[in-house]
Amino acid sequence: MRQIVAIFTRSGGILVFLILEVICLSLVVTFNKDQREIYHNSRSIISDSMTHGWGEITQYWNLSAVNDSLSGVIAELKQQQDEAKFLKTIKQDSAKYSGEDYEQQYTYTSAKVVSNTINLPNNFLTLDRGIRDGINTRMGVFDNRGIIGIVIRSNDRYSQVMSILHRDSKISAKVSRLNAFGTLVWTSVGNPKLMELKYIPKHLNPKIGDIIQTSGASSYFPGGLPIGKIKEIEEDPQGGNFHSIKVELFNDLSTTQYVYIVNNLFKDDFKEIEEGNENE
Amino acid sequence: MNNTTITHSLRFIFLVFIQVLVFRQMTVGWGEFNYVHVMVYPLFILLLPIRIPDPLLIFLGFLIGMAIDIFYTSYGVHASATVFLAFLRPVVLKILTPRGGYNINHSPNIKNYGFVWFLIYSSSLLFFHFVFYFIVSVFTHVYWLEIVLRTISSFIVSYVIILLYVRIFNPRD
Repeated sequence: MRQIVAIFTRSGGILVFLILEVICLSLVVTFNKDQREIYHNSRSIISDSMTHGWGEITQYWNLSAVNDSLSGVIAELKQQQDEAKFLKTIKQDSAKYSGEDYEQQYTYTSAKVVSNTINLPNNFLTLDRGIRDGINTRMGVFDNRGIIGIVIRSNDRYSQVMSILHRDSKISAKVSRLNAFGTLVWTSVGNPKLMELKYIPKHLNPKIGDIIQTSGASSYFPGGLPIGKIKEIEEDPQGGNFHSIKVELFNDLSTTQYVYIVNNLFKDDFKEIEEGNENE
Repeated sequence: MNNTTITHSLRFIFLVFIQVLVFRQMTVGWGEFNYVHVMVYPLFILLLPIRIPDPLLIFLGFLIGMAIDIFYTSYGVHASATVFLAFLRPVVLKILTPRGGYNINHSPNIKNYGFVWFLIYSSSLLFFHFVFYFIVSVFTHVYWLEIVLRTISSFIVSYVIILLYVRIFNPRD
C-alpha cells in the first residue's frame, strides 16, 4: 500500500493528467456537435482503412490456399468440357448430340511442383500427387500456358515427371494453322524456352509466329493444348525432306508452380492398337 | 480553511465571473470576427502556490475548466486545455527555477520573482494553453491555419488583459 502511495506521489501528476484528459476529450466528443461529427467521421475513416489494410494482408496469407483450391476447380472444369470426352455414338445430325452420347475420356488432377530442374541435359520434376490421388505412369502433365512432361514414376504421395526438357522426350505436336503433325524434341540444352519441331515436310509452308499445339495423336495429351510458337525456321543441314523448326515455348518451366495431370482413360486401348500395328 | 485557500477560492469565483459575464460577451459581440477569444481564467492556475501537489493542481485545472465549460456549453473543451496547462505548470516552473530556488510557500507572481520572470512564465504557459484549446476546439488538422491564427490573436489580446489584471490587483500570495 505504501508503495502504491509512493508511486502516486511520484507520478500522480501524469496519472491524474491522463485520466482527466481522457474524461475531458470524451466529454468533448460527446457533448459538442462539431467535434462529435469530426470524431465519428475520422474514426470510421481510420477503422475502414484499417479493416481494408488488414484485409489486404490476410488476403496475401490466404493466397496460396486460394491458388490450391482454384487449380483444383480448374481441373474439375477441364474434366467437364466436351474436349475431355469421347463421342460414343454416331448420329447423322451433329446438333442432336447430348450429354448421354459422351463418355469421359480424360480426367484431370491438379498438382503442385515440389522440385524441378531445367539446367541438366535430362530434367525431371516432382509433383505432390501420387498413386493415392490416382496418378500413375504415362500421364501427361501441363499447365495453363503449355505442357510440362509425362509422369514416369509415382509412389503413394509423389510422382516424378520426365520434363519435356529431356533428351528422350518426344511430344507429338502440330502446327495448328496447317494441321501438320511433327515431333517436338529438346535439342538446345541450357535453354528451357526453346524446343525443336521435327518432321514437318518441306512442301508445307510454316511461318514464323505460327502456333504449335498438341496433336492429340498420342495417349498422353488431349489435342489442342497450346505449346508455343514458331520462332525460327531452318533448312535441314543434311538436306533432308523436313523443316527444322525452332519453337519458343509459351510456358516457362523454370517458374512452374501449379500443373494439371491428365489421365487418358482409353490409353490402354490406344496402346494396344498402336503396338499391335507395330507387331504385324 | 486558512487565508490562502480563501484567497484562491475567491479568485476562482471572480475569474469565472468576469470570464463569463464580460469576456464571453466580448467574443459574442464581435460576431463574424471570432478569431479572438479573451481568456483570463488560466490566471487562476498560474497563481496557485508553488507547494500545491501536482494531482491537486491538475484537478483544480479540470475544475475551473469545467466551470467555464458549463457557461460556454462546450463541455470538455476548456477543461482539457486547463488540465494540460496545469500539467505543464510544474515543468515550466522547474525550467525557470531562479538562482535561489523557490520558496514553496510563495505563489509565482511579480512580487516574488520579478516582472520579467513572470512575463516568461505566464506567456509560455498561456501560449500552450491556447494552442491546446484551439486544437480541441477546431478538432481537425484541416483548419490548421485557423488554429494558428486564432491561437496567436487570442493569445496576444488575452495576455495583455492578464498583465493588466496582474498590475491592477497585484496578487500577493
